[in-house]
Amino acid sequence: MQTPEFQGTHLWLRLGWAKENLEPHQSDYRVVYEDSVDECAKILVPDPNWMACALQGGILPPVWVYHELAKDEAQEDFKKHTRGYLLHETQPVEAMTEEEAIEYLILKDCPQSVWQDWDSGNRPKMVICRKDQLPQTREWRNAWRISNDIAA
Amino acid sequence: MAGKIVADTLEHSTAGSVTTDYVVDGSVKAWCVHTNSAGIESSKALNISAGTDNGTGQYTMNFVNNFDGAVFAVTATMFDASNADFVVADDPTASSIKVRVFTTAGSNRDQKGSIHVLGDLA
Repeated sequence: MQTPEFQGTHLWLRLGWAKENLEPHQSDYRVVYEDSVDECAKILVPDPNWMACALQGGILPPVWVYHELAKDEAQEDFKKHTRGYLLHETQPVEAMTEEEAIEYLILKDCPQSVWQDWDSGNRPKMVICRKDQLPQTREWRNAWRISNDIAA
Repeated sequence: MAGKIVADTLEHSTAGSVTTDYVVDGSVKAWCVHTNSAGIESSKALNISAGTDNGTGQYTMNFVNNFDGAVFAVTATMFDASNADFVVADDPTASSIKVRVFTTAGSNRDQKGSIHVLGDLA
């Protein structure tokens, strides 16, 4: 399936096209991260429709667009986005591998404080794993931490 | 064949008319059915990049197309007729919304649920 030329097309409309034309791809990857010493580990789970867009290419904006919007939102006097056009006008990224898509998702949806220096402390703050490597029961979910045995 | 209709008003033969800005503004801009561990159930979602499992009964849904700010309308539900739990949507940002499910005693509980989000996209 050939992706239409989407530069200049509203991102939300591109997602509508993707939902009609692409088969969702369920990823087995999970990103486990800790962004607070007082909280349990968090787990990022990719959406299959989003993953299909990433694998197809020509749909998603470059991840730096989200960082620019986050900078705007962090301004003290922020009321609403005025640079939303970056999502729609910037040249979309090309097709990614599933691994590249997970890296993109980390930069987009994990806190910058986690991915910027994830392995610089005493223990890693972030791990990419398969879902079958997670505990199979959620009974003690709020006690989950990244294992100290994980090599950086 | 794909096409495009440009119109300001939709009119029914007897039931009256509506301006199309109501149709656009009233459309759900992001939705999903999430599992009890922040995954997406059966790929049922639109405008969601990923779910984050923050702990028992605590989930974040991240948007692909950001909203224009942190003010938008959210409806959050959960699918469990056997427990009289509460579900709240909280801590909205232009790029995400948190959902928390908890019991009448105040303890968080894992639940499958859904969200609908209406508002203005960036």
